Amino acid sequence: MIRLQIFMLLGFCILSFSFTFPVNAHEFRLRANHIFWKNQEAGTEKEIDFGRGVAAKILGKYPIFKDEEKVNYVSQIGTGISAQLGRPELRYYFGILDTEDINAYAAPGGYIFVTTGALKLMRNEAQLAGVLAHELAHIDQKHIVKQLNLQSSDRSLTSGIAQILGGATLSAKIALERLNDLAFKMLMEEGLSKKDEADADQKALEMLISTGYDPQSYLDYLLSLKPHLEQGQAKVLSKTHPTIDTRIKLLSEFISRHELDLIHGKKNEKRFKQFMASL
Amino acid sequence: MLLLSRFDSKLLRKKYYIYFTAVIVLLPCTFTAVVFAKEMTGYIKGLGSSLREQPKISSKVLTKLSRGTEVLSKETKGLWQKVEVGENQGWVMRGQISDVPVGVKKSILSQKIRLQSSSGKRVRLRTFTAVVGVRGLVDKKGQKISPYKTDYMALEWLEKQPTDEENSVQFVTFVE
Repeated sequence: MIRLQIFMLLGFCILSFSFTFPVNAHEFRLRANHIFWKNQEAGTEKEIDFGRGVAAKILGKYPIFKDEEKVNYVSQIGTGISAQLGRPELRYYFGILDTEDINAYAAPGGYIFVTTGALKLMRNEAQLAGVLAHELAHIDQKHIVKQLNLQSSDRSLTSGIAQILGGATLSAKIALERLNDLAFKMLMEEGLSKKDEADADQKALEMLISTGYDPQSYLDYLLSLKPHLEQGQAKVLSKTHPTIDTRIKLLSEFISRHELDLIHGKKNEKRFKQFMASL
Repeated sequence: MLLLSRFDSKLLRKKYYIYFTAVIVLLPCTFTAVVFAKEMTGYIKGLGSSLREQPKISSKVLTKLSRGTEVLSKETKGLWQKVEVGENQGWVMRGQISDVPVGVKKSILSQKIRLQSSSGKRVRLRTFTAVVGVRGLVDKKGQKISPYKTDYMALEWLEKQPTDEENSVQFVTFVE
């Protein structure tokens, strides 16, 4: 009889626990998130340090374009999008590279660059917003970090960086420098995976729609790249990205799946031309 | 009498079996409850995200949600997420919701040192910038680690350019 009572008591406890758990789960999650964020914050700082190294190498290859008015324009477009859809814990930097090469780059931690060659090819603000959004997506999704496979023992990507690059010793700095080289090589020669590029293209469209820009303009920009890929002005881009036809095909599928072709957003052609007139 | 006691014993075992089954059934419920609770809560990560009446960009804006607002996710439709915020219910684009609370913005903070630049001007740089960017990182034998050039001075110029999130959000709302 006592056993029976124990079983009844046990059953009652589990029953009441199962009903109260969703309420307590919230508090439990907040605590878990607090611990998560403490690790995440350390990881984010390391990610920025890692990304700075990659960004410095990009600027070692291409000179920075020091026109404050034009940089401010690009930065306002990029920051306006990232403030709504980017990672809130990052401050994003948007720079212009003074080269006729047509390309854009994203280094982890929030560093985004677009070349003067690419800006000259663009026809409106929606195209610029699309290119910046594509690069923002690479940072948001941590594509480089994922491809370098910088995972920690808890499978977390950012704390993986913190674990690997956490020390202030010379060997830790050397490890950081070597990883910077790998990431730089990935941006300039090997490229990210086709899946990551398709993902960034799709996220870029989502960001454009979300901020009211014309999504079709981004596709128009990709199409305008085609002759330059053949001529070699976008040599690095053709080496590191899937073909334009593949990207257009995947984007078209995405557009029809979500019925996005019905949306016509703003292009802000005049404002774009006004800022980029003397480029 | 013996038959009755056997019957009682069987009944008791049956009861044990029922309780045991109840325990087995209810235990996964507790975990399921946690999973459902996790799927339901989200946080607005954008500045001034629009809560819309319908899952369409042309739909009426019910209210603006500030960064960090906790929302309850109801259902997903394409790129849209139906959420509940206080008494309001509406649609937000899925890219504007984070499943973890919004973190504090991280800035590049590090010890800065004074350094004489090639132009003779004294500049302040981060310690790592000064050591790696100007002298180049070398190993114990004095060999340079990386074959690639760096330009930390240009990077610091970029990092000094002013940005304002709220003004920028306003800037992208402009329509010709």
